[in-house]
Amino acid sequence: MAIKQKNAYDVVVVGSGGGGLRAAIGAAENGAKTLVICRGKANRSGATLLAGANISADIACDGATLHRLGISSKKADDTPDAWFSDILKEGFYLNNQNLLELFVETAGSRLTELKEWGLKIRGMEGDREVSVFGSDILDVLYKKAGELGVTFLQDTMFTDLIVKDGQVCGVVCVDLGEGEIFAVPAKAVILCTGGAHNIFPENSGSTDLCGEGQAAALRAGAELVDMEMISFCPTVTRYPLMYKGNILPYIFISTGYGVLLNKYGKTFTQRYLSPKVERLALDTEWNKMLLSYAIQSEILAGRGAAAGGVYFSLPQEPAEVMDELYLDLPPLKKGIYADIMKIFEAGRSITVQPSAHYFEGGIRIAPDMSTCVPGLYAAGECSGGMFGANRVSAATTEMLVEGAKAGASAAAFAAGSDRIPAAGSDLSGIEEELLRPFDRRGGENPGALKERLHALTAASLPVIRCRETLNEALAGLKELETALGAASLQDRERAYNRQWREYMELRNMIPCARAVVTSALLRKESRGVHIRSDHFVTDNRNCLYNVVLFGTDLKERLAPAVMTRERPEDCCQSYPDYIEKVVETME
Amino acid sequence: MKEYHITIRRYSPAEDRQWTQEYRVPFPESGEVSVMNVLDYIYRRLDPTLAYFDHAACRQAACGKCVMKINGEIRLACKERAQEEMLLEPANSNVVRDLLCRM
Repeated sequence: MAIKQKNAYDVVVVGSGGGGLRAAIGAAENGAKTLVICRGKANRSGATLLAGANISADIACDGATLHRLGISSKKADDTPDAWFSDILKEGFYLNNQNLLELFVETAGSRLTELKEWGLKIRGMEGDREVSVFGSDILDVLYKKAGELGVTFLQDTMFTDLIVKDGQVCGVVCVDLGEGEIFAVPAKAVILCTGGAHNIFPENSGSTDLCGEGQAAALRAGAELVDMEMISFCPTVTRYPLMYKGNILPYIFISTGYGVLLNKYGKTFTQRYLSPKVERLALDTEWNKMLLSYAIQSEILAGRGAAAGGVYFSLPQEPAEVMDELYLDLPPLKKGIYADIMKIFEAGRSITVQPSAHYFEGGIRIAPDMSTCVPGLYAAGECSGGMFGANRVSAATTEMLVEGAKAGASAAAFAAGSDRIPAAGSDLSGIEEELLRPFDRRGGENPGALKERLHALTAASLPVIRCRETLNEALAGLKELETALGAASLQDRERAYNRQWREYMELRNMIPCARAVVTSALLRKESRGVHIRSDHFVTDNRNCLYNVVLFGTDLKERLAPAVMTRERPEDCCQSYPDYIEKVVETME
Repeated sequence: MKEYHITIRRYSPAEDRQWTQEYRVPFPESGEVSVMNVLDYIYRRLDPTLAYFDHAACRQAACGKCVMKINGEIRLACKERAQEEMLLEPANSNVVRDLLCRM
């Protein structure tokens, strides 16, 4: 049975978070007939929705632009060059400097247009951070895309890129409701699928972030870069179960409220972070990397909570401090946050744990967002290279900057292409692979395989890693890949079949996890968010390279970091000492 | 352990059949448990054929998509605390499968 083909488009965008919506706007503005494939609801799925727990997301922009827009005068003499240098230090010089140049040069234009399109600015968070709601960003972009005639396909899972003669010419998708597999021919495709958060049992993302863009890109012949670099949010809720994944404790910590306690009820971050580092860095997003390191160290020392993680406590006395809290964070009075506040009011704490939060690495892109496969583009968190070894600045700005560029580039590519998209492509191999578990008997079910995957990633890819567990995980992931090939379903209906969906997710999650483990093994040092207990130094002499992976068997290549403008000091120092030195220069 | 008694109104589009199914779900005495947590337990441990919105779920009452009738009231499964006796039904008559509806 041949896969049904839908109408062809010039540009298909996969993903409807902020990156996907901005890419669609960019493509449509440049004359492309554009479709967005949305895993869930068009303006309510993807990572953007939960940015800052929808309480305190921020868009970063240089201070001079903020001054010009009348938003803030805190850093009116700021320049793109100064911002460039700061982000480079934050990224420990692994950033692709060509991408970073695009970031600092065009962030102002992206914020300016969002404001013109009606985005509500809710104040300032830092000198370069404008406070907004993630849902507001989505609503503004969705409305704009609609005005430009962009079409949306919702509740649709993207599974594969169609490649013919080395060029991308469409996508294969599944309508999750009906369970129907179909193809959409396209002259160019932009992947905006976000991070692969759900390869981890503990993560701060929504359930749709499963790495389908990264894995499909690999299958299509594109490269991945810096996959070992994953930011953990230090204080993501682990318990109570009902609020698992919620980053409210991180919002508290970043705003300055509450304390972290070990199993003895004692504070502990001072054991791992010098007073200087605590003073300089804990009120910026540097705290993600630094606190994750401190918390994981305390857990490894055997002083974590019985159920895993550590305790986040929000003392209720004096009452005046609670008044301050509600003044600073008014959303706490309503909805789910009011429910969570009841836990603290009852004198209890929340158990928190460093959890997968942001993927610095991803699909390798050029400054025009193209990949090495003609017709294939990537933008936002599923792409890699912008932030190097540690993101401190805003991922929202990244998605806007890269999305706009990818949309324009893909539209130009489509306009210059006279190929008939997807004509004559044989998709029976993809169809057979997608439907395979329906015909099997006696294999493991995808839910059980996902639990095995989570056990492997939790053991091998916490904040602090080492060769032994990484090697064990690599062997386990290879076994898992074989088991997935033999997996079978108990649920045999095509319509909204969760087991089948989990099978299709694992088809992407296992290669993503393998890519992360492989890259983590290849980086034999500690840099930024990648910490190796068996290589506890930052080595600028030997390790200023990006780990590049390609092919479904994950061939590897170490590429010198793209340093067109600035180089770091030539040194090799212990990880904490190096961080202290970097943080000092940020003052 | 606390035991939840859950009754779910189900629908299979392939068979065009409606029926009611009961489940007993054990959970620890303490700590908040959501209706979504209970549904996840049923899917993982008791019945892998149960369908409810979870393919692009925020689980933090932000996306608004896990809506269903919980003891007769329209609620979000991720935001609502599980009760010991619960009747779960689709939010409207436009049912795709089990508890999943077109909005």
